[in-house]
Amino acid sequence: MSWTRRFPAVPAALLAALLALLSLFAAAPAAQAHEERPVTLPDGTGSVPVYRAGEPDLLVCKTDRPAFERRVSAFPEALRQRNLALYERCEKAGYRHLQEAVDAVDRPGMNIAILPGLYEEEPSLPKPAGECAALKAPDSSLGYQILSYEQQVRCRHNQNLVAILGKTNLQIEGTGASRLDVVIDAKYQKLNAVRADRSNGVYFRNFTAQRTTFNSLYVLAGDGFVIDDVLTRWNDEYGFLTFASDHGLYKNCESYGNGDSGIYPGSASDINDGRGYEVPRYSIEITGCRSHHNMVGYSGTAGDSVWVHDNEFDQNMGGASMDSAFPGHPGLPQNHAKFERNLIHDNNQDYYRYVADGTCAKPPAERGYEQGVVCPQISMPPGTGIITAGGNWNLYEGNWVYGHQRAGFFLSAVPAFIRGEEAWSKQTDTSHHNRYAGNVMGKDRAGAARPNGMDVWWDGQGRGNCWQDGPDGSTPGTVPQCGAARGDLTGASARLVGEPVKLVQLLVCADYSVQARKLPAGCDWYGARGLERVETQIALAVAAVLLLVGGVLWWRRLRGSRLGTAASLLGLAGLALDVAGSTAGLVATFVPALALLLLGLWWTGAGLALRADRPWLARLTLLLAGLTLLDAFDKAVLMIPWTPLSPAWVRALVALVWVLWAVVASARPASPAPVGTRTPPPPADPGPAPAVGGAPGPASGGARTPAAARGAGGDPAPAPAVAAGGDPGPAPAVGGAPAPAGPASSTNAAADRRSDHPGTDGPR
Amino acid sequence: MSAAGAAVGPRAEDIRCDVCRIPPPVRRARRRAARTAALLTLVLLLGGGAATGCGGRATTHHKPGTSHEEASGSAGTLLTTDDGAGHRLREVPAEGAPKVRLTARPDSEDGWNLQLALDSFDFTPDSTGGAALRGAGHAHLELDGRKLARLYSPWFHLPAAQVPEGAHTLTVRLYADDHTAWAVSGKPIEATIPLAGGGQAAGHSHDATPPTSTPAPTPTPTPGQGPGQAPGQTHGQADRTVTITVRDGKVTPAPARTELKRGERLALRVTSDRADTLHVHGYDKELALPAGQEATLVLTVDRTGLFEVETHASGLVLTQLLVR
Repeated sequence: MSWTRRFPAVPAALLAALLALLSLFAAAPAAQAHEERPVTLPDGTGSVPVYRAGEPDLLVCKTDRPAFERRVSAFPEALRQRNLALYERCEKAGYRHLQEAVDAVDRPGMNIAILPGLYEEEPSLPKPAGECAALKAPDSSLGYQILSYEQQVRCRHNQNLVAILGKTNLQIEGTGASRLDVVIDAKYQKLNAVRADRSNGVYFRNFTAQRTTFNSLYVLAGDGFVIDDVLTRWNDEYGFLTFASDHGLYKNCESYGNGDSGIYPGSASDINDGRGYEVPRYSIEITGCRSHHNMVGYSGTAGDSVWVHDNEFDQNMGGASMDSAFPGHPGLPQNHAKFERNLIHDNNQDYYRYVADGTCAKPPAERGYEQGVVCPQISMPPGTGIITAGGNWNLYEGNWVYGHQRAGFFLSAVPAFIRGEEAWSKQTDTSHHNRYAGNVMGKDRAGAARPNGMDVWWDGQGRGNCWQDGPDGSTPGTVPQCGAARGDLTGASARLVGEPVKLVQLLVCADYSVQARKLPAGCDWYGARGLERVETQIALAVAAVLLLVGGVLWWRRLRGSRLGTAASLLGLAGLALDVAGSTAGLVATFVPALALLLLGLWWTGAGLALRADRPWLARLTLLLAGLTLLDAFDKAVLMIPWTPLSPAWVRALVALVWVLWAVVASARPASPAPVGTRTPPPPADPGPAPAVGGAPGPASGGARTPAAARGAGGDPAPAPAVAAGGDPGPAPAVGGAPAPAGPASSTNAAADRRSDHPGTDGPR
Repeated sequence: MSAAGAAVGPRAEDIRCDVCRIPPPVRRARRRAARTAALLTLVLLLGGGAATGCGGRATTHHKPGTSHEEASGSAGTLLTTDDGAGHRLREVPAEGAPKVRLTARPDSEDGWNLQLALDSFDFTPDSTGGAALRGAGHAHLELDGRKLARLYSPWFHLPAAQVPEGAHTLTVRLYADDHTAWAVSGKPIEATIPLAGGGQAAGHSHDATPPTSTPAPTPTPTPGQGPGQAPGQTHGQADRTVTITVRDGKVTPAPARTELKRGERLALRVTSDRADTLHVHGYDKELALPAGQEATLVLTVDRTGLFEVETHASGLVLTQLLVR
């Protein structure tokens, strides 16, 4: 699954340069890593198997008859009689272990019935010996070997409690009154409890599989499978993992207690690549399932063409996620998932505490999964309904999404190099055309208010994404709106890259490692609050720099101007609001945009006030003002449709230059104009053009004239043009120039991030 | 479908798949590359080195995660003996074996509050029915070898009504998820305490785990009559309860006959506004009545006849028992 290691997109051009650089840094190995053997997606000629109600061909039961009779004693009479009859038959001609029955399957279309009981599959448990202990196979980073299919056949219990290899149309059904009557328990001694590999048409029904160090029920490279009324729980990674498969159906299933996700239709057959919203069919259908108390309920790295409807995903850290953040999954980038009428709510668990306190460092059997411990395998934002980290053409329609402390919907891009694809053209191939429409947000099915912290968190990247009208809280403050029909939208934007502060935040947050017990400080996914959050820290740093620079500028250059003073006051307010707007509680409100508006007004006023005296600084200030106001507009009113970058990026760069310039301008010893006498210099600056270049020296000659008129006494000869420019005001000869070096250098981050304060992460 | 087939066809080449994880050396290099890329990006975009302070790195995938270490070994050895109720014993070494102690305190209303003190043992109600895993499962509560309840937590309220009059033995025994009984040296891991029905619990348990020396139980002081008496011990299992109040020399309800069948258990709940003594003639049962507090006398009417119930100090007749 797992979206999370996502990383916001980077403009393709930059990336190209980067990749070139990278080749110098890391001799990028050509080998591709995989944790499963190379597989082939099915050719799609199969079909979803149909349940066969006929008499079983093979029976599995345990020997203890009194125990069996006790187990079935409370069944409805007809079912009890049937079980007793089956037991009769099984005692004579049945198997004691499921694997034995599977081994006895000798033709397609056989039915195995498992009678109520606990199946530990003891013969499968001994550690590999002989040839199987010395298989030549690559190791995965998780400490197990990546076996070929042939090796799986030869040593089927190296990793699997029950191995179903190469069987066709096999049906395995528990005969109990509920799925809990048949329990297949791996006791954390195997990676997989039940593995169906290259077994087209497999049908699982009415049992429980549990306690593995990877996943309980694993369907790999199958064309046609059904998971019907099966419970899986307490696994290091997944409850159900169906990989590189087609024609699949999950129904009425349940999964909980998994360190990654309950349901993972990974690399579902990518049958709709290249299509728009209308598709002929979906490769996997998931319905009537409940997935709860996992890291995420559903995950879909390369979960392509999966139709997920009428399920409930609740009480996880996140409800569902789709992503393109991991290499080696056939079918990336993820596309064409359709979520309809699902109940996605109250996914607010915080399982990172079990990583922090060392619980997850114990062996799996000792972690206490059965008592509610979950060890989240990757980084993700807890308190979120549906996460899409790199995905296209996904439809999220008619779901109920409520009660999330962070956000209802979370959308970000993932550039292709993250998943190991380095072609320049692919770097911005996510996230586009995701449609969030007709969902009931912040209300349960009965209509009671259960608001999300915010309805929408979006990094701002991608084209053709849209949301339903009136999200209750969103960042950015305004998002493109879906029209009535799929594909219709207003306020569309098409950005190559997300908002800068969000990018920084995602970077910080991604540095998680459960094994190293590393929970990045500064990221509120792991509990950072208030000043601990990187977004707020950045906002504070930026505010400090701008306060200093702005303050000095005002003192040195704007004090005498009423406009300049008023503007500076607005700037002060803007900075305060900017910091406030970076906090979790206010990020999805109007505050960030208001802060931008005030800052824009500050720079507008300052620019106007500086015009006469420092025309080029004034122009730069006005440019910054314009960009800031544009950014405010972009975030509060309408995302500017035709720019490939958010105004925040440009603004950040301009702000950086401006800070440096303003520092220099303030630092120049000002001409000691007679205090109190305002001799407005001739507004026209004769020689501005050369001066601008910032080129000190000769250019100043021309510029000096007006200054001289004003009494240029203190202007040392080589004064750069800037300083030479008219000093309208009372420019007092303030002794100490603010040390430019300090602020300037710390400004990079500051200036940059300040550009995008609204980009902070959602509230928790 | 054909369209789908067409779409799928070209994909049928071998595609490397990685069920989400990445082998180390290669990955690490890649990860490093990605991180470098990320940092460089930032650096470039932000126009300076300041971004390095942000410390991010874009690992490209799932880091190794938790250990995924497969468990080995067994959860003890199944013995042929059982706990007496058909649950086979599961032998584990004494070292690290679960331990249990049992304490019973009289409840102020009814019966007892039992507490299990456990070592190396967790209750796992959700996995009951699964395989046995070391140090996990549930407990059974037995009275004289008869199972009263399955316990999933250290506290349990035992109503007095479940404990007949007389001396009993209360036992808690630890079981695995698969309902086998944990055992050390062939003996189930359990704790017992004596319990007096219609009386009170005797107090602390033996620590029965390693079947070694059993410290003598420290009996809790006998509650006796009067205020200290635990009402639950008495009226809890009465067939009839008669409640009488004495105030300013007046008896409420007005004295009358109480008809009983021989052998019934009767609880007399009397509240007197002054200290007194309750006396049941014929049976010669007495109970101190503290001023203003309810006291309860329980007796089994095992003789027929008419018997007066009166207060000694005030000399009032409270009721007459007509036992047939």
